[in-house]
Amino acid sequence: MVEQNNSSKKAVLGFKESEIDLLQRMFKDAPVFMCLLRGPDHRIIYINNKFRELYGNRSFPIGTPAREAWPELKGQDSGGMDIFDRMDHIYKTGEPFVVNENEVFIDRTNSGKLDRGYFNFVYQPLKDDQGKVYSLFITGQEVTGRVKARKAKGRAEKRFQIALEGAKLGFWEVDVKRGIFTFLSDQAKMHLGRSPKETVTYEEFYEALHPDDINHVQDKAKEAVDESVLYEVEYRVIWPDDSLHWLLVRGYSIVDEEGAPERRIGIIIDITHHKETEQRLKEAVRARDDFLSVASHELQTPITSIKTRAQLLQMRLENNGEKGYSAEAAKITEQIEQLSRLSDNLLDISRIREGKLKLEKEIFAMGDLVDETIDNFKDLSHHSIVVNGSAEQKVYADKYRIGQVLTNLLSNAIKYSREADKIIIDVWQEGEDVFVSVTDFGIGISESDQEKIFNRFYRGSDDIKNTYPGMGIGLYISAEIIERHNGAIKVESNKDQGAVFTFALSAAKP
Amino acid sequence: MAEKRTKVFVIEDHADVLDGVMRILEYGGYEAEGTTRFSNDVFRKLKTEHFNLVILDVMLSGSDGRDIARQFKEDKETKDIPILMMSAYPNMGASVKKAGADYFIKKPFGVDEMINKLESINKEQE
Repeated sequence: MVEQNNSSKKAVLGFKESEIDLLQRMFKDAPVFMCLLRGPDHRIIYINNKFRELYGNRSFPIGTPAREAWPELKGQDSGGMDIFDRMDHIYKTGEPFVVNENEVFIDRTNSGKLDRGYFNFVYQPLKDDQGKVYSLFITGQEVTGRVKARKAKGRAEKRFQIALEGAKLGFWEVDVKRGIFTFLSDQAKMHLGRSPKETVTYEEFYEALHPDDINHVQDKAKEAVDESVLYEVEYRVIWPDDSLHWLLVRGYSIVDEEGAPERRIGIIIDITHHKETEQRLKEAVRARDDFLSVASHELQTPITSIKTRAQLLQMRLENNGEKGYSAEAAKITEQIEQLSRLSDNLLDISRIREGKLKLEKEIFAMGDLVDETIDNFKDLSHHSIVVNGSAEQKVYADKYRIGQVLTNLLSNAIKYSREADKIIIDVWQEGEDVFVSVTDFGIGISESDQEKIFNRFYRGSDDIKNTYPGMGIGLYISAEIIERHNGAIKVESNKDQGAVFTFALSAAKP
Repeated sequence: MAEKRTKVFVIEDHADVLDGVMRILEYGGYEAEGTTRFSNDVFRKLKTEHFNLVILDVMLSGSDGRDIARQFKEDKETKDIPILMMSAYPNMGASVKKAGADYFIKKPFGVDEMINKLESINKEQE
């Protein structure tokens, strides 16, 4: 405790005793810390409660010189001077001194452990009648919390700044009502081909836009405003040096009290490199698809020729009674059929990818198509193919493409049920849909595989025996064809218990 | 089987494919002639000699079979000859019919497939 001599209350400087009491109480409980030091060695005369709070309500004996009471302050700065030197200087010159946010390490707990604090100090010299300084009156406030918060905010801003710069993210803010930029970061300016020092107006920004992209940008901005959605747009800008750059802009609108858009804030990033890569990739894919298309078409010419010859040969051998040889020729035909389908599939894959799989719809009886398709298989397998259902159900669809689906399902049924001797095809109508199912009694498809078989390049395999030949694109194409008809295709199967593939198409309106 | 009087003319630029088609026609009992190159001479021949059917490839070297089909359908002496066009592109059907072709068959076709097609054409043309 500071020992205060309250017993000898005297009237000084014309103050009444009660007034001195009042002043003492005010000092004691003042919200700022106060400290009165006397003499050239700054001996403690008075310190108030707020001061003591800094030191955990510790007491400092009256008469203790400041250098002894607070030895940890030695060497610490007070506006470019040692704190004690500062006191000496004020004492000598009689000039008051003010310092704000002075970083000082103090021993708050008397443990020798110093703690960082920030303080605003006012050093006021007290002078006698001759103008000679006899005391220093020091008042102040601790502002550590405020300074630390501001510094933390500054650090966060700096981090944000570094992150933005590192990512080459530009930052912008537009006053929507006035149509002006209220902020444009250096990086944002650089993305527009300008230097950070330049001012870029909203008009100049629109002038830099590629003419073909202006409407698009305006539409997107309008859409973001009307629907209060994230504003996201890619566009090209032309830099002052005439080079072309792709930019991606994202932002949010901020609305006023009436809900009208007031400001739009967002980021801007250069995606030129990304766009160029994308373009090169597109060209590569196009080149590949063109190649597939040409290659598969070119393959059809020799295939046509070989197929004709093999069949003619087969017929001639048959007519001559050369059964063994004619079976060999039939095998050639079968393999040629497969080669032809593979080549067609390659062509279809590229068409599907390009979205060019066009349908030529006509009305036809599903039963007729089933019969025609089975005809093509009659010499190619030992299975008996049973058809259930009448031939009357008519659909409005692309007959060639649906034939392709049937051919695919049938050739799979044959391929995956070598040990079985029967395949069943059901055709029926339910409501406005015509259903066709192909049932085999082969190796079946496990449940996990059923999810994948309509994916591209997926191929069923039998772990024990072998992997079946083919590229696994038939079901993918079939599913695409059915989907393009707004139909549905599905599989039901259990491992080793065969499979049922069913597809549905809308019945033709009578 | 068709009757012998059915005369077919085939235009297909690949000699081997042309030969295959000719053999199918022969097998089916048709009277057939063919060429790998369409020319004014061929056009004159088709105008003067009476053919019941022209089988025409879409992708010919140096020309488009659809242009030839158009030429046939614009000439009063050839416009009534039915045209069967063939292509390896499956979706050519609509396009060739727009050009004036009456029928379409996708390559590669089997012997039976072609014979069936010819027979159904014959039936329709009767």
